[in-house]
Amino acid sequence: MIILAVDFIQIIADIVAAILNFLNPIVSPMGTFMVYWMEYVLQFFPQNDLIVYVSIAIAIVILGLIVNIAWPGNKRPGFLKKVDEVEEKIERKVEELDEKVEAKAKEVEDKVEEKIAEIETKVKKKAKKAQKKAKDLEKKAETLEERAEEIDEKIKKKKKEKIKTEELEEKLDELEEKAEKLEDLAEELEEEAEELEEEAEELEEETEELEEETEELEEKAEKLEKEADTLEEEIEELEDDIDNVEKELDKTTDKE
Amino acid sequence: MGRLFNVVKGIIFMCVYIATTMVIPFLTFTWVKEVQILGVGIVLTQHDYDNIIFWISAFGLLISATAFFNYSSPKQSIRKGTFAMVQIILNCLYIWSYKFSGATEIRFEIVFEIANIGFISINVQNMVMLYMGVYFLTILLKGYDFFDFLLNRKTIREKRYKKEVGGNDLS
Repeated sequence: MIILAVDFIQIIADIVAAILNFLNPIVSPMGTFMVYWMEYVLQFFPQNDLIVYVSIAIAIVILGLIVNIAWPGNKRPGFLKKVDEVEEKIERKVEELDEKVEAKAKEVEDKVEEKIAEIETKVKKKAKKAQKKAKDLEKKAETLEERAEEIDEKIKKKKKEKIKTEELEEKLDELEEKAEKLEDLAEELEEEAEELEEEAEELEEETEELEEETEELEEKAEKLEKEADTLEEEIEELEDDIDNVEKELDKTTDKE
Repeated sequence: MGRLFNVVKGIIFMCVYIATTMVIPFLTFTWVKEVQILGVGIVLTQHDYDNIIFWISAFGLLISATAFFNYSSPKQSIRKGTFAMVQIILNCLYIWSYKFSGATEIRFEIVFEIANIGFISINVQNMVMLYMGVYFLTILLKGYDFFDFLLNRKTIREKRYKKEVGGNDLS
């Protein structure tokens, strides 16, 4: 039994040793720190005087009893009490408002029901009227449709006419342009005719002047002819004179 | 939660801590002191047996008292956070008191009738150091809880009392 027990203890010791070796570098420094301060603190603890510890323990227990009986943690804090009061007030007001709202809702519902009944009767009447009106409207609609079709046809015709009128207008424009051009030409011709007339007048005047001048020239020519005749006579006379002179000269030369 | 519930809860946990930190260690050490295996008496020869019992009793009382205060306090309250942290620190001191009293290096002498056959020595100092490291992390966690309760006091209280809308207000 002892041998078995020793083996068992050895196994446990090995396991504990493995755990210690694994955790030793991590936890040991903390342990040494703990030891340091604990050794320092333990100096102040009284030794061989259990009464002090007993009295401290009793004091702590009594204090715990008093404190935890006086303040068991059920008492709501002041700020939450105020919140509760406010919430209660709000709830009351909400309830009052709910009651008022319900009463008003009932009144409104009654009124609404009455109005609904009235409206239903009115609606029925109006529905009948509306049906009649609908029928009338249908008839009107049919006539309107017919009219609309007629109007459409007219519109189509008018469109065609419009197209034609546009074409005619275009032609008119062209003709107008041509007429304008012709007018311009007529004006130009008139101007040219006027100019020609003026020129003709001028030519007439010039012819008159020329005639006058011809007459004058004729007169002058007559005069000149007369003068030429006279000159011819004089020339003949002179020639006679010259012949006479030549004859006398010949005579003189012969005499010499 | 009511007053009575809190107090009863505190008392129950106080009893649990008294049992685990005082009664069981006391009985264990008393049993180990004069245990006999196959007629061979293993005598706990350390001189500080009384010293161990003293420290176990002292810190056991303090731990149990703080456990009462801790577990009878409302959830997420500042006092609960405070006393939880105090309890952890006392736990550390309690654990270390084993070393202080010499319990981390337990020496058993094997005595057969009159003759002293030999001794068995168990050195648990490394284990205690490891345990201290774990406790250090626990202290950090409790410190975080404490500051969390302190800083988020209003929201915690709002949440706590929102659950009880229309419920009991025992003030």
